Amino acid sequence: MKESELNKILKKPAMDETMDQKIANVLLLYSTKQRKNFFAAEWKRMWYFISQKVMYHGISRMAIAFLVLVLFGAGTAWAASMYVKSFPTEVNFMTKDMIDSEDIDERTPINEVRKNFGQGNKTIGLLRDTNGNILDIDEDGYYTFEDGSKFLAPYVPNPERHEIDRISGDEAFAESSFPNLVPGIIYDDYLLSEGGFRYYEATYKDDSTFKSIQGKFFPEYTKTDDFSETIYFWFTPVDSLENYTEVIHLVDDKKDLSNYIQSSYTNQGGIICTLLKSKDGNNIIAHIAFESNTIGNGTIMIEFVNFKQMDNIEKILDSLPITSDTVTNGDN
Amino acid sequence: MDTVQCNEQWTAEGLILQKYDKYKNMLFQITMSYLGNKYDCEDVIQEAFIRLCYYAPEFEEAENEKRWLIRITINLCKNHVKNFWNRMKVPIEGLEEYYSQENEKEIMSDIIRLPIKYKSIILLHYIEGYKISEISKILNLSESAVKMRLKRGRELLKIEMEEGI
Repeated sequence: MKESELNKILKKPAMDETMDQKIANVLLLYSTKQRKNFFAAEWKRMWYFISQKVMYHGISRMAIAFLVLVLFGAGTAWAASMYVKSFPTEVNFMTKDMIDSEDIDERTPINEVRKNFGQGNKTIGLLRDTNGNILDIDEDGYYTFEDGSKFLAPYVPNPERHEIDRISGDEAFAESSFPNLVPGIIYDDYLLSEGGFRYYEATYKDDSTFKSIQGKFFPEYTKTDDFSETIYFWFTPVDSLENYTEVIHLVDDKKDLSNYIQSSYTNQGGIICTLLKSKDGNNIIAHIAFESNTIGNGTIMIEFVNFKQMDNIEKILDSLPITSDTVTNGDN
Repeated sequence: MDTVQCNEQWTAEGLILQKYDKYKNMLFQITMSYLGNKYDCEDVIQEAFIRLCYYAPEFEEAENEKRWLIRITINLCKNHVKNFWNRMKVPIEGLEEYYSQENEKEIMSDIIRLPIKYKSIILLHYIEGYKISEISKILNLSESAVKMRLKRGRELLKIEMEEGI
């Protein structure tokens, strides 16, 4: 490729009008109104960085699959019958060099399917008055400030947003014939991020497949003042847990190898959650591996970013819609 | 509740939009090369300009302001792609909207997959035409490191050098 060709390609993308207008509206809000009282969490929100990625591989170290996002969420009617047997997850950390030297085969799919379910919600800080109360957006989509002036809001929250997120989750999980596994509290208190649920399916040369459902959530603005909290969910349905009870987190640097403290939490439904807490306390990852004759087998990973209270994490884990058969004496 | 104070220079209505209009396309091209889809680009560009409002120092020259914005945007992109969630997706699905020809899509995919330490330099050199000495100041790297990374980036992308580019 010639330099001129590279230059042409790099300069080709141009921002479309919709995106242009959305950013411009947000910038106007930030720069011209209520700046002393503006709720700052949105712009303070850092793209949290977790210098790792997760790969599953079998004990035989034959294969690596992408980890998938978990969405909890299921209604109580489902929960009553979702008995599973859960297992602790063995977690190891490796650098890319270590993985290369272990000769772990990172398989290349011959076919991939990606689908999105639901549109999700735009993360945006909402304006507040001098007392810190969130300013309402009227039916025409305007904020009214204390001096009576009005300002067009970048978007008008949909009053049915939580229910829409839940239905999107149902549809995404139905794609892999699973009930919605996102904990109810997440649907109640958080919003699905833009782009909705992601469904990914890969097929490999040997006809094996890998599926995943992913969802990213941020706090509902009426529930919290801290927009920096983020929840990431991966759910991976598996035929058997045999090859999926060990997880490798890929880290950038050897110094990151010991960055996490491993522990365990058994939720109120008796589900074993293997927890990894970063030493800086900003990041907690929960791994859940389960088998069930009723709903199937799967692995869940939930990543909690910038959560200040462990209690909140436990509440979310408690609201997982699956229940241990050993606790409930279910018929798994 | 957190409160913030917007820098006084931005209180004049519309000033931020002037800056936005001036730099948006350049930043969109840079972010697209890192992130590969417009939704993530939107988030990063929005945050970069908000930081300009709230955190930017006073600039003696417009060029310094531009460089500051580029540096912030690149850092935001780096943080974004290092995020666990974002590492798990293949960030090239949004390219169809901008590249209709298959070879262009392939080249852009190669650019997106280029290691970050080479990519920043390639982008600054080929999008904005910055020289090695200028890139070294923007990224706070030695000139020899910039030179080496530019060379390596060119090799990885199989770029044929031309006169006058």
